[in-house]
Amino acid sequence: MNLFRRNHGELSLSEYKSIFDLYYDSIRNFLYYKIGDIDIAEDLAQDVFVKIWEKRGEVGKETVKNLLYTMAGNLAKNHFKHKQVVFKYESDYAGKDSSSETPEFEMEMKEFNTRLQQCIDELPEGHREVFLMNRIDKLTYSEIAARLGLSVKAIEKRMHKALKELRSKINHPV
Amino acid sequence: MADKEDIDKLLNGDYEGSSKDDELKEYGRIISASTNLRVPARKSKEEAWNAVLNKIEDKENSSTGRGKLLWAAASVLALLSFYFLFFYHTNTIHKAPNGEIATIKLPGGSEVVLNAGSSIEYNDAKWEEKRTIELIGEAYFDVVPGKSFSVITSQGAVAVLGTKFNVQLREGIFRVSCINGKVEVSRNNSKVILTKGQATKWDDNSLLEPYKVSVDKISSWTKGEFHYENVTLVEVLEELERQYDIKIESDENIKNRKYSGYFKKKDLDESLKAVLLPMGLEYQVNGTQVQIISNE
Repeated sequence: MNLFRRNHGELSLSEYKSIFDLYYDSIRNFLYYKIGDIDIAEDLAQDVFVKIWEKRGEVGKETVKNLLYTMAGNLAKNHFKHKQVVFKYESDYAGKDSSSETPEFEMEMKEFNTRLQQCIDELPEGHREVFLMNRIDKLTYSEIAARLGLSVKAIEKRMHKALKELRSKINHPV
Repeated sequence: MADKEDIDKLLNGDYEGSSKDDELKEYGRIISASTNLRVPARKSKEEAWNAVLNKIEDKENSSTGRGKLLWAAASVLALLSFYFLFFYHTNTIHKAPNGEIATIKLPGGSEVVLNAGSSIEYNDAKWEEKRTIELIGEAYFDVVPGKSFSVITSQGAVAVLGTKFNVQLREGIFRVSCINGKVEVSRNNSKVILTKGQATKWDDNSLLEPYKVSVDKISSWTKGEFHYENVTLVEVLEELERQYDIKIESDENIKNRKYSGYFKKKDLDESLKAVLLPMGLEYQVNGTQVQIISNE
């Protein structure tokens, strides 16, 4: 048990926890999209929030979301050199009515998914991040733009480029 | 040729008309398949939160050595005036990490017992006129009669009149139980008054009308005994995780089963037996991980 002393104008512990609750998952995911290792992503995501606590006198509730992503990006840069990027996703098929599909169809679906994941791996990082933030984190273009500090147009461009590249890669396996 | 509008339609989940064009069909397939991808997360938000707090604590502890040296070097006068200003504007924060229950004496003699994975915050200087505490998690309060005393959580507030009560704020649960005196609980437009032996909790849209609870069992957790009356099993498992600082894995379908009973925080094996045996469940312990095996 210990004591933290707070100065006037700083984030309170409650406010800090709200920020954590709101953004932890997406920051951890963002780091995972960059690094491909979930344990490192969790560890770095925690480090990002520790840094935010250290800066609690300087951050505002509106500006914090962009700061979180910037810090995450910087931490990821240092790690990239040490680890090879290997992705693994879980496919959430719980809601699908699989009783109506043939085994051949299921097999084809599985192969398509594996191939898709490989192609996502190979996307340029900037395109991959935006694509996954939209598909997995379910963020809109304007939300992604605000978080990454880019224009909505820029996000739209990256999204469309990612789709074009995925389509071309899936059709023409090397 | 697929244009931007067609692609954006697909991204919004509108697949109507996409099968007419080969290119659109391919985009549709990629988009639909990628919607089902998930990140294989390992830690729950609560575990990650505790890890963050631990890292912050480690950092603060490692820098106090240097801090003490600088402090001692400052002049006495500067120290006194700085301390006065500092004290007036600061809040005090106490936390109990996983595996620990902490008793805190508040200014004026009131007492708070913090359950594992909980924290409180209050302003020392303002305490004289108005006693207000912000709570995350679960705490038992023993309040000395005096000026108004209130407990604020992100999911509801409690206003008190010299009494003993318990406040619980956990994942999906906001519950207040009164042991002595009178307590007013509020959230949004819902307000409920509790007297001794009554409790209320948030139920989707409003606070429930006061229901009876056993006074002895409300705060028995402060002495290490955790009692439950018809709660979901997941609530009990989460408490075990906090008390023993472990992670419990189980099938989704057993989490909503109802449990009534208790466990004592003493021995992990005994506690797991107390909770799981009556439910017909078996378990396996691997260090700090517990795997529940259902017999179905």
